Amino acid sequence: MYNILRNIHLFFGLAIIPFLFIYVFSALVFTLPFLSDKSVDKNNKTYEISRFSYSTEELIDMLESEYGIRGDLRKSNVKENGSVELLISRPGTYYVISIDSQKMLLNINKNTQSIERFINSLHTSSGFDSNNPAERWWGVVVVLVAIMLVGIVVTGIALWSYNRKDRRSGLLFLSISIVYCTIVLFVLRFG
Amino acid sequence: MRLNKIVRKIHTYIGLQAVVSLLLFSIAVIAVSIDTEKKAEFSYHQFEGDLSLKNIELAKLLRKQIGLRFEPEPREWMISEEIKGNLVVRLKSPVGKREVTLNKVNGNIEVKSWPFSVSHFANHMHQEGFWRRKPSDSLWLWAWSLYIEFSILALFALPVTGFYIWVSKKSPKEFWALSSLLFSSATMTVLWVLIR
Repeated sequence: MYNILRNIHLFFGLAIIPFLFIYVFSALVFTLPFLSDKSVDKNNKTYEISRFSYSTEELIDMLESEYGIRGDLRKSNVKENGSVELLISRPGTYYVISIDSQKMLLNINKNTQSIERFINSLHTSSGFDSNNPAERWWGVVVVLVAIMLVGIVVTGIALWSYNRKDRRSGLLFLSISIVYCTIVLFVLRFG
Repeated sequence: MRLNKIVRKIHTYIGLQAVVSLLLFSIAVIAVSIDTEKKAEFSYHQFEGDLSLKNIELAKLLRKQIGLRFEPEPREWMISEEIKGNLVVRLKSPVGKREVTLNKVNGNIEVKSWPFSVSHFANHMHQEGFWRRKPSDSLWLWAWSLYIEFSILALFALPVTGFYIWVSKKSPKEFWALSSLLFSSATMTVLWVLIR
């Protein structure tokens, strides 16, 4: 039994290492603001377009197929003069797009954020809501990582229980931690 | 050999200390991925105070009048006035989040609340950070943020020490274990490139 538990613990542990490092890094960036690089690389281009539609779906299709713009639509706005403004984003990159329907001009303002911001976006985006299959897959993998993390905790406690030397002091550690968290969480939730 | 023993002990004790937070992190991840937000609840009040004050002062008075326990003191980034005369204050606490709108002409207050389910509570609590929290905000929140900060470091220390224990063992390394690491690294790299 010990070997089975140890192998599960090892398998899960090694499988989630890359993702854990990503999440730990972004957690540190969130809590320590001086680690965050807020620089944005801006790139502005204007194109002449041959077709135009007020349907945002058609516009997004056109932007993706002809200009390689990938991401989810966050905002759309039709101005009084008939021009359309769109905000499309994916983790680490967002596009501010304006389409002048009278002059048939498309302006794409591409904003590329730093790697830190990209990782933070990966951390905060839930994945399942995205139109991008890669982001949805990221969401699936992250849920799997969370399930494996639960598995690691369970097998870790079971493995520790085999360890006679650390049983008493370990129990003390575990009890203090559980009591501390339970009291604080209880007060915060119901206090 | 001695170092190996020390690393094992560190791995064990840090792991035991971080049990609750690791479970909380897991619940938060799953909750955010699959749980949907509850419907908003509305309540209405009348402002008791001077409506001619600055927005930030009004927001602080609003908190005094209808604020909940553990709701933070309003700061500039929490307030907005997109429609002239309507001050909006966005507040978050372990119980839920609220959007308080004050009509600066007649003093009517509309409170839109989204109470947190257990999973959203877990998600909210996992976002606490020691460096953003002062003991003066709330000692309970500060105590929790201290634990979360330690757990983030544990989340870094556990894989490092665990990897060391595995690498330093003298017996041959299991092929399946190495494969799991390589496979997940490859998966992460591919998804990273595709998303970026």
